[in-house]
Amino acid sequence: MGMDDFESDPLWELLGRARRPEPSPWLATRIIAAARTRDAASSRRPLLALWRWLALPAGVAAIVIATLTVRHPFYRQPAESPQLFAAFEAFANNAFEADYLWSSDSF
Amino acid sequence: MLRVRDGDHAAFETLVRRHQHAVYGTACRMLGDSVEAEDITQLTFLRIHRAAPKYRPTARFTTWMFAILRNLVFNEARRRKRHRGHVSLDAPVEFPDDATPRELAHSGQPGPDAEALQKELESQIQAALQSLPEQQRLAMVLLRYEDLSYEQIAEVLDTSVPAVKSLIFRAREVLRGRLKKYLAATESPKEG
Repeated sequence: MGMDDFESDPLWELLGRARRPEPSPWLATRIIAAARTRDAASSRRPLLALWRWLALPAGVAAIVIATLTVRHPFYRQPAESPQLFAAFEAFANNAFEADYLWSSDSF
Repeated sequence: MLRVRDGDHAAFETLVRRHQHAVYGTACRMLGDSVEAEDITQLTFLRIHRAAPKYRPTARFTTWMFAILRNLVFNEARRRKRHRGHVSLDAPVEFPDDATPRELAHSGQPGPDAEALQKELESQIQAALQSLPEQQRLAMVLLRYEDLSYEQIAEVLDTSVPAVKSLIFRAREVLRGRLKKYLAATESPKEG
């Protein structure tokens, strides 16, 4: 038997004896009600939709700001150099001596 | 469908009432469960409703509708496999040895047993369909019960026409084997 000769195939006739399953009489009503509910719900949420659109740019902006802050901080430790260290020591010694003189004068 | 796309609720209602039998019938034959078939039918129409604004009439509406149904039915089949493990839509259904056709040739005649015989035949046909792999089953259901062409079935299944012909050929072979007792019963009165 070939592929397309359905008319002469008893199987085709036998399968045709099975009646089509019938849905409940309320199925269509339920579907239509569900669609209307969905429509109503989506029309009540324009702000939510707006927030969804705003969330992505806001998130990207926050990440960019955080990255820039970490990479380029507003305050940096001054780089240590021998001249700076010597100047700091000289200042400290002078301050110690001044403090010592002031302390001995007080006696 | 173009009116539905433009937000016409009455058109959507007409569309549901016109196509609900085809969608539900196909889902029922695919799943073998009337409650799940109703759920899948509802989901199919809600997806159509949701996708309506983007609908482009590039293919026949029924082909598009059955393609949506196919996705939902196949997903449901996979969900069942995951949740029930050993129970599969594709598991072969065993026929009891004492399942005899019982003079089906006379089932069309009015009588006290006619309805019972009809139900028995329908349940055996459903069991035979359930024994097919899901692609073969859907191809067979769409061809025999929904009168779709090979080309349309190929679009629904996202495959080629020769592949659909092959699916149908194999499905017929399996069904012929499963329903041979009933086929013999229907053929014998014609011969006699």
